[in-house]
Amino acid sequence: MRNTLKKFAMAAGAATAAVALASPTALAGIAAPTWTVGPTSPASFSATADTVTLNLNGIPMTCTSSAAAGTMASAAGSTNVQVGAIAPLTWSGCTSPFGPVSPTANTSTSWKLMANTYSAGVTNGYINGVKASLTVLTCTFTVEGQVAATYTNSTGRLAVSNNSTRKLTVTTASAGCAGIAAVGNNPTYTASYLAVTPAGGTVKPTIVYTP
Amino acid sequence: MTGARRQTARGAALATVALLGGMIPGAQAASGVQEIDTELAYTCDFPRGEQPVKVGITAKIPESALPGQAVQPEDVVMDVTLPEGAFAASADPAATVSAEMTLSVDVAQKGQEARAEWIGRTADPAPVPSEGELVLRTSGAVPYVAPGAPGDLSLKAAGLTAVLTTRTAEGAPTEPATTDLVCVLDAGQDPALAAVDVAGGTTSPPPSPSPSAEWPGEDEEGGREGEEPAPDAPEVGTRVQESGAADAPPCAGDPDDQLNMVAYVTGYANVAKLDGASRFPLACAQISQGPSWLDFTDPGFMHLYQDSTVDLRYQGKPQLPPSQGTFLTFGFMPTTATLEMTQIPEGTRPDGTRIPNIKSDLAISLADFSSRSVTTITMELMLRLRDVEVNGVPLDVGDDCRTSRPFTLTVKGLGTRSSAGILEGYTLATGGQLTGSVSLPPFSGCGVDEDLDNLFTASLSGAPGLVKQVQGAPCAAAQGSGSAAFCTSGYEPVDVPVPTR
Repeated sequence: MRNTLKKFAMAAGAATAAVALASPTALAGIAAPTWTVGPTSPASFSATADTVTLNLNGIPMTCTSSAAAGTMASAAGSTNVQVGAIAPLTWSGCTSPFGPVSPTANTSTSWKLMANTYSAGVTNGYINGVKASLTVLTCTFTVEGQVAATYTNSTGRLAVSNNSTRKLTVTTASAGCAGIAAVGNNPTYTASYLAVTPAGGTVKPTIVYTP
Repeated sequence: MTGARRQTARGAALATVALLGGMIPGAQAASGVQEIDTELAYTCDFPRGEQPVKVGITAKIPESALPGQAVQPEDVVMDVTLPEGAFAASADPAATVSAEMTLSVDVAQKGQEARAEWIGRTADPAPVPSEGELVLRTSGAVPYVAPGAPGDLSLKAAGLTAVLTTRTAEGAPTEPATTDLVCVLDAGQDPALAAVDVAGGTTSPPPSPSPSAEWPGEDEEGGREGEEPAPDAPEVGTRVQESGAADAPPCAGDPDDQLNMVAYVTGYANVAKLDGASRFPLACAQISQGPSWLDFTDPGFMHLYQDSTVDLRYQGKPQLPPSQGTFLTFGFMPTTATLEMTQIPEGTRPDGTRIPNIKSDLAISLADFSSRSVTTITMELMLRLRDVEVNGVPLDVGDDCRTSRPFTLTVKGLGTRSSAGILEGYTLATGGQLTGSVSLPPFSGCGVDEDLDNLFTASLSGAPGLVKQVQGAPCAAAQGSGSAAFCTSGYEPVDVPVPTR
């Protein structure tokens, strides 16, 4: 699927280039590849997830809920196109084998929802600029990086997880983390957010790619 | 915490003659316990309309208390009976449901009222039956109530709210995933839960600790002691206070030591020989977190071991705050003494690191990530008696009346975490209840003109007594905003535990 899309994108790009070479003035009449956010753009959105998990070196942390808000906007481009900004994001009801924990998302620079590939109402992409910290007893560590994200228009679900490309990495760890978390570790984060627009509304937002 | 408040607290502690410390039992009998067992009818606003819901409430609560004493309901269970088809409005068929119930309890005394919230959670998701009613059993820790003055203290049930979380047979959240219920008590019922007789006086009768070496199935974790109660209004405790309690001794952590933590500890001890219980004074524990390591040798489990060191700290010395104790000598003579419980700190290894006396073992299931934890704390202690009075007459026991040798106190805290992340019992991050037993050795060095060793040995030493400690959540002072919820601005623990039986 991804290969087909890539080929298609490349073919479209080649065609555009050919047209551009032939007649630069004709460009205005040809739609550039666009990611269109609906039903309105730009728009605010909010999202909630019921159960989220973070697993670090086999040590599990789960939260009973997570909430996020941000903005979405249509944008031109074909891959690695930002269609949303996430800030703030919170977790609640989080526990670990050590006891309750309170992870904190650092969204002072908003996290970016990036679109990459599209098929039949499903957008694959990632969230960039993820940054969060967690303290349990004398251990405080920070994770930064990316999570893979899949958004499905029909359900309004944004599923996030980690894979070999989209990774979170422990970037700082206090002395008390020795044996628990070390710089360079790759925790995995899994959650499924239900999105609505505008923030607090009832409408499932849509993301559609037009080549 | 202000210096003035500490001063006041210390004065109050000294004035409280029967506030018992150390291992010495009190002369007063433990108060009785009454059982709450009632069923109330509510009407709740389900998505498909109003529905009747029955709520059965059982709990144990002291029959009587003294002003200022925490009345801690324990073993609180709320059974909620939902009508058939409660989830029929869901788009997805709900296969399992878990619940968090919040029962408002009105606490009244002499026209003064306060409101407590009793929160109960289901231990595991319950299957939704295809037909018939569904009974959800919820349980949890509830706040204590501290009456401010003598007089009957009444507890009455009021409104109820519930959050029901439903999942499909595949374990996925349903749509919607949660149902919020607001329920009102049906008219024509007696909502009374209990009445507690609050007598005059200002002392605390010492309840007996009950043994508990079981995995947590019921939440017996201690409530949290709060500020001094207002003169006439009952005070409802909360699990976490803005600052330490009035009688909390100084307990500042070191913000420059990455591995330092401080925690308050209190509890009860039994001396089986005298059929009584005594309260440990609220004490400061300085903890130095040691190394953690993972171990995979136990099939199916990953163990996370952590060794740490704890030292009691009072005015720079490794001891509990001195406390006044009352006991009987010759079997009948009321005797008071100042008790000094001193820890013999753990030594150091050749490499300079401390020998750990807190050992914790977190066993995490590789199958479902549920976990169990065992935390074992060991202390070598000496007990010294001074300022002894027998029937009001000073008895010179000298400067060296103490146990003839150190004795070991070993307590264990057990905790579990379900695969859904629900915690029960003791955790490293929150503390909780630790249980064990201790035997006092014979006394020696007692008496100036005559040998009084046998007097105290006969009264106090020998048969093992149960110890039930409650440790508050530690403050890790060097962790800045990450541990702000656990530390006051002066790096003292926010969480001040109250002893539980």
